[in-house]
Order: sequence, then C-alpha cells, then structure tokens
Amino acid sequence: MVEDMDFYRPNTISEAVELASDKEVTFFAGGTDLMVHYYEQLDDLGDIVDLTAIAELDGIRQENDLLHIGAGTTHQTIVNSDLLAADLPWLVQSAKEVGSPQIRNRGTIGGNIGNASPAADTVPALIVSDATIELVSVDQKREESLSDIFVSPGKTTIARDELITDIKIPVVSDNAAGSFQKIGKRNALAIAVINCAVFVKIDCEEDNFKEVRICLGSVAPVPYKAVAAENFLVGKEINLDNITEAAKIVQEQIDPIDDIRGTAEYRDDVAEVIVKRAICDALEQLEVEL
Amino acid sequence: MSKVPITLTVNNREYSFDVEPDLRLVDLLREKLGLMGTKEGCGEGECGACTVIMDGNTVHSCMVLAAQSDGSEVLTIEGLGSADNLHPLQEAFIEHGAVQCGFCTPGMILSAKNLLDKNPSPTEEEIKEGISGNICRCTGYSKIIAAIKAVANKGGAS
Repeated sequence: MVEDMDFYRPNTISEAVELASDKEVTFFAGGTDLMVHYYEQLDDLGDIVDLTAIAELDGIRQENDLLHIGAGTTHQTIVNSDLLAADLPWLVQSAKEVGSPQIRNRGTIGGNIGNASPAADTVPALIVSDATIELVSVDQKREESLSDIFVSPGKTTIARDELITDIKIPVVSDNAAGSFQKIGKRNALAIAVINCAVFVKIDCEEDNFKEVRICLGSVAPVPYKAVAAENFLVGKEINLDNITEAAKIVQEQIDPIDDIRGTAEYRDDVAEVIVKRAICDALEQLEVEL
Repeated sequence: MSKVPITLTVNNREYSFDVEPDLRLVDLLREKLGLMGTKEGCGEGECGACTVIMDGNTVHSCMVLAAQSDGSEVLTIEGLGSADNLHPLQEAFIEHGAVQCGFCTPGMILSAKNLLDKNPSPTEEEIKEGISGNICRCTGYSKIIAAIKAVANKGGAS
C-alpha cells in the first residue's frame, strides 16, 4: 500500500488531462499490462487515472477517408467491428491474437501502444496501415506517426501528461491488402516470440508492387520497419522469387536477441518464413496468383 | 491513500464499499465478500482461474482494480447455480468428467457460459477459443470441451 496514491475516475478527456497537468499520474485503462507488475511498481505509478469511464475514448468510426479508433477501444471491440473487418482485416487479426478473451475484453489499443512492448501485436499492424495517433494534454493537441513514437522497450515519445486519444488510419484502396502473422509458444495467452505485419499495394496492369510496408515485432528494441526489403520490392514484378528475396533481405538485416521467449537464431530463421507467408497471404486476398 | 467509495452488484445483490486504490477485484470478491469460488492462480492474467463475468464479459479479476468496478455487475461462480440447483454447465462438467482438482473449474465454467451466451452453437474451434484464457493442468481439456458441446447441443446455457 502506497501512502500517497489516489484514484480518479474522470468521465471526459479534458478532466483526465487536467488531472495529469498538475500531478504525476498513470493513465490506467484495461490494466492488462499495468497490473502484471503493479505491486512491484506502486511507488512509481503516482496517482491512478482510470480511463474506463470516458465514453469519448471508445469507438470506431469512419470520417471521409480516415478510420478513427478511440484509444480506449478494447481489442474485443476491434475484433467485433464489421467496419474494420471489411477494411483492415489484418488489424482485426492482430487484435484477435492478443492474450485471451478475458484480456481482449479489457485491454485497449491505446494501452497496447502506450505500453510500448516490442512484442505488441496491434502495433505492427497499425504501423503498416500508416496509423497516426492523437495526443492530448491540457496545453495542446498533437499528432504523431505511430512508427515514430517508439524509443526503446517500454519507452515512447509520449509525455507523462499526454493522453493517447485517437488512432487514425487512412482508408485502404481496392488494390491493397495486408496480413498479420504471430508466432508464440501457445495459441493463446502468448506474448509473441516474433510477429509481422505487411501491407502491399499492387499495380494489376503492370503486375508489380506499388507500395510495400513490412513491420516486425520482437526482433529489435522497437517495432522494426524492414525498409531495405520494402525498397527492394517496390517496382518489382509480383512473383515468388522476388518475395523470397525480400524475405531473405529481412532475415539478413535484422539483429534479434536471445531472450526468455526465444533465441536470436530462431527469430532470424522464422522472420524469413513469416514475412514470405504474410506477403503471400496479402496477395491471396487480392486474388493474385503466384 | 484515500479510499474510493464504490457500489457494485455481485450475483444480483448490491454492495457498497470504501476501497483502497490498489485493491484488486479478486481480493474484493474473496476477502470482503467471502466468495472463495474465484481463485487466484497467477495474479498476472495468464491462467484464467480468477475469471468472473463483469458487465456481460469475462475478465481476469486479478487485473481489474476494485475501484474500477464501481457501477458494475459481476457474476461469480457462486451466482451461477447451487448444490440443489445446478446450472446446466455445472451438471455437464460433472457428467462428463470435466472436473479433476477443480481449481480451474469456476473460471472455466464462467468462460464457457460467456461463450454460449454470445454464441449458442459454437464449433469445436470456437469452443477452444472461448476457453483459451483458462488453463487446466489436470484434464487435458477434452472432457471440458465435450461438456460444453453437450450443453450447446441441448440448447441451454443461460
């Protein structure tokens, strides 16, 4: 028990950020990451600001060419969303593979981002979807590209008094698709040994890749953008040889570590496999024959 | 630490408490309400033994702060049936040999109930996914799945 800890349960974003402006707080939503080490880090948490009563943080909607996901939206709400199933099935897949039904019922997409684990599942899917996040504090509202915010495991560029409020994703065009792959020690309740999201936009007439985005988790201190492989594929003909080569480039470029979930060698080998699998899956959705 | 006043409904009865900010829902249920059916297996959201149904959804009660349950409705295993009046899932678990040590059972049954409430006719894959947040060290799951299937086939889980 910490002597000075207080608990607040605001109903609006502005109340929440007001609290954060003059106190050291921890924004607490589903608690599925925060509670794991809760008792060990009680002294560092400051006051708890519970976000689960803030209705405006919850919800998925489309406005013109942007999809908006409230940061307080649970993974299960994302899994249940018809709108996202149609437009971002790889994001839905990533949310579906988080934890367990119980964890998905409480854990939020904002929390998955803010916790900044390199093994986060929704993050690679969001990065390849070109997601930006909105950050609100008492003084300002700003936006950052999601791929820019991760500094090191558990650390982001988000200030302590800033609240993630909204995740914005451009609506996907017809000739584009994505895929999410996760490898874990179990089919559920597993933190990724390695995961991968890809997004490809193709030119059907030219039969080549117009845009390629590849992001892997658990191979680097932060979600890893496989830029060299992406650049290799752009403009190349859509065939298995090129996809295989791109996957090889990823394997050569990454420098994973040994940790409690897996070895560097395993991650190296499997990265090549899942990148290839993900690209092929995305192309299959576009009904491209390889 | 200022206490937080909360009011919640547990198994259809309303309770009011002043709770410490760091009290977990699992501790509120077990220690303040004496409802020992909800177990703590890991305290980390990794095993599901602490599963309860909160506002219509299963949650790991070791990951919910009691203070966050203000205004909520919680169902624990004790709210599901009694020795004289077993819930169909409880009956099926007994009939199918789906209970060995019993430690996972309360959480497992609540996950099964939540699954069937949302999806009355699940496939075997859907059943497995529905209980994927509950670890059992004894049974190897097949009898549990059979018990859930039996209840689904009989068309009754509420």
